[in-house]
Amino acid sequence: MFPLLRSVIKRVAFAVPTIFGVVLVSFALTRLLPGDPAVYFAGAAPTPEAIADIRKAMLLDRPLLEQFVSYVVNLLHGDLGKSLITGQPVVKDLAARMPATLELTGLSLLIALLVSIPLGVIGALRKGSLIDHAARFFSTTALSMPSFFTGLLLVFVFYYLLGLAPAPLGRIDPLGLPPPVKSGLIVIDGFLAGDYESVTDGLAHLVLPSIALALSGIGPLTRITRGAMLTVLSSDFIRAARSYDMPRWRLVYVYALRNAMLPVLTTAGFVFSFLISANVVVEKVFSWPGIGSYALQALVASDYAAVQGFVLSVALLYVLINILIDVLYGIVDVRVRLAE
Amino acid sequence: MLEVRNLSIEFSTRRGTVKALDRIDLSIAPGEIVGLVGESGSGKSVLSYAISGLLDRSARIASGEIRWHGAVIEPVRERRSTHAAIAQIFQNPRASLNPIMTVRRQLGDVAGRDRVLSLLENVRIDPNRADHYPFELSGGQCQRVGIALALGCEPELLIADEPTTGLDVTTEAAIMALIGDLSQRRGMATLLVTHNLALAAANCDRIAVMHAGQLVECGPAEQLAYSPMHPYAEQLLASVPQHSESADDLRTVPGLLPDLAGPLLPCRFAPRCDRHQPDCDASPLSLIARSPQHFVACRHPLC
Repeated sequence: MFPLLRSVIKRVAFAVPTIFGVVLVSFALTRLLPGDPAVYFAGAAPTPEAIADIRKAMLLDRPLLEQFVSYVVNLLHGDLGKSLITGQPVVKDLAARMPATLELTGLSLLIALLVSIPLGVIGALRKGSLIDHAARFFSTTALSMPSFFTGLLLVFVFYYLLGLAPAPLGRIDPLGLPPPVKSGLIVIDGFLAGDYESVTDGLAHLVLPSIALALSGIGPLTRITRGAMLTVLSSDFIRAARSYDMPRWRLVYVYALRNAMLPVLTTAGFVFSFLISANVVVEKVFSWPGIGSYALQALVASDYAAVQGFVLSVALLYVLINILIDVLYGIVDVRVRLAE
Repeated sequence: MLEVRNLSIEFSTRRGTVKALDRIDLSIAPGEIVGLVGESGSGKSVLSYAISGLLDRSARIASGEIRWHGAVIEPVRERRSTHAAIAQIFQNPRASLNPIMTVRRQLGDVAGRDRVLSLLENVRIDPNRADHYPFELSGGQCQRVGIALALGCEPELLIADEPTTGLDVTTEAAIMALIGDLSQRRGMATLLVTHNLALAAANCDRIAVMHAGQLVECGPAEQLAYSPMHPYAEQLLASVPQHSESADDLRTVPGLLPDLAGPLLPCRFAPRCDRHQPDCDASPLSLIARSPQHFVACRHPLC
């Protein structure tokens, strides 16, 4: 366990420059955006004095460097500033909305993996067969459709036409009572509270948005799984294992698949990062109260602090995911662990 | 025990049909060590893979059959429902082991957990190495593990495909001694596939020489190594360093292997042969018995 901990610490240390870069870029970008937040928040008929007061309060009258330094100092104190829309500290806003986003993105990745890995394995085992071509057609189509479109399509079919899914309005029925917040994930909190109505309702609300999101991840994951399986299946040690009369399930699912998982893991990391970005639109379509819809709202209002907070938290998520992937890599392949 | 009869194998490729094996006849008796010799591309690996059932699905039998204890076995045995006691060890020992599993796990998967240590002992590997990964072992140790894996299948026939390529000379000697010792103790037959005629002569009872997918000569190791009958076998011998006084005397076999996807002469060695006569290009050639044990596929043999 100790070398594992050391490698995690090392990776976190390596991530510091990345995070600093993100802080710098997000700060610069929000300053470059058109629109003056002071005017936006001064109200319908602002007086010049009111605007000047707001500018002063937001430090917008100070030089850029001073604004940046004060931003970083606050950041180090865990203070991301106050959102001008909600009037709440951005940290609090993000923390309240993060579980919704993680729930949605995590489930989408899970769905994408559960669909792609079997599809990729079947494609590799039956190369050129009807199933292989169908899998390729499916994953290419899924990839080429933007997720807001598949989202709308799913809502149209399953809510409007068939009436199977609940209205795309958030995580739980607006009239229902959410379970007490423990993990922030409604399904898990529902289980903890023994409130199974919330569990099923939470799941029902999750299904469509997570499928809409998962579809965009299935394409790359299927391709990579198929390619990695083909490479491993034609390698020397699989041929050798065949010569030892190893049962086929062990050959395919233990010897080949485990070796093929390494590139799949890397891709899963990319896909997760990509899903967090794709989330912004899907959350909007399904009125999902996550950080994506929050960021979209903040961006429209030139709410600097909120946008910066969003960019920063997404960057932190990327870093965390990469560390997690590296650790998983070491678990699958001992060579990675020992090379540290 | 093993009988290959009139075996021709073709591969369909984008360039056309590659006639990889042409009417091969070969038999192996229990306990016998047979060398299969030829340069790269001579078809020796295709033949060994056909016997161990490891050929790709693109392979097709054009004629003949392989019989194991009298029953026909397929050269492509993907599903491995029929267990033939034929095991193989491979050219690249490290790449032939699963890189992310320990030796113990791999041996256990093949032979059962309780046999791991005795198998390692058989191939003289320290039992402490059982929990090592292939990348932590030397090439020679990897090949010993490969042999242990093959022995775990209780083979009656061991196919050793260039088992010492890429290993140094002392390791080569140790591995060959190990194989010889194991086959003697277990009464296990061995097919040693190698490009090195000297190595085959030193370790085998019989040697079969292949050229461009044809078996050109087959006979007792000593006879073949000292008085080869086929011009190709003779030239192959002359290219073995031990047989030359100096580097200048070292000969190479002139010419190149013919394109196996193109049109071929009955004797595929004819374009490279200095004893070539007009009658060589007539009608199909087959193995001619020069003595009860010694066969040659040549109309104008050396003796």
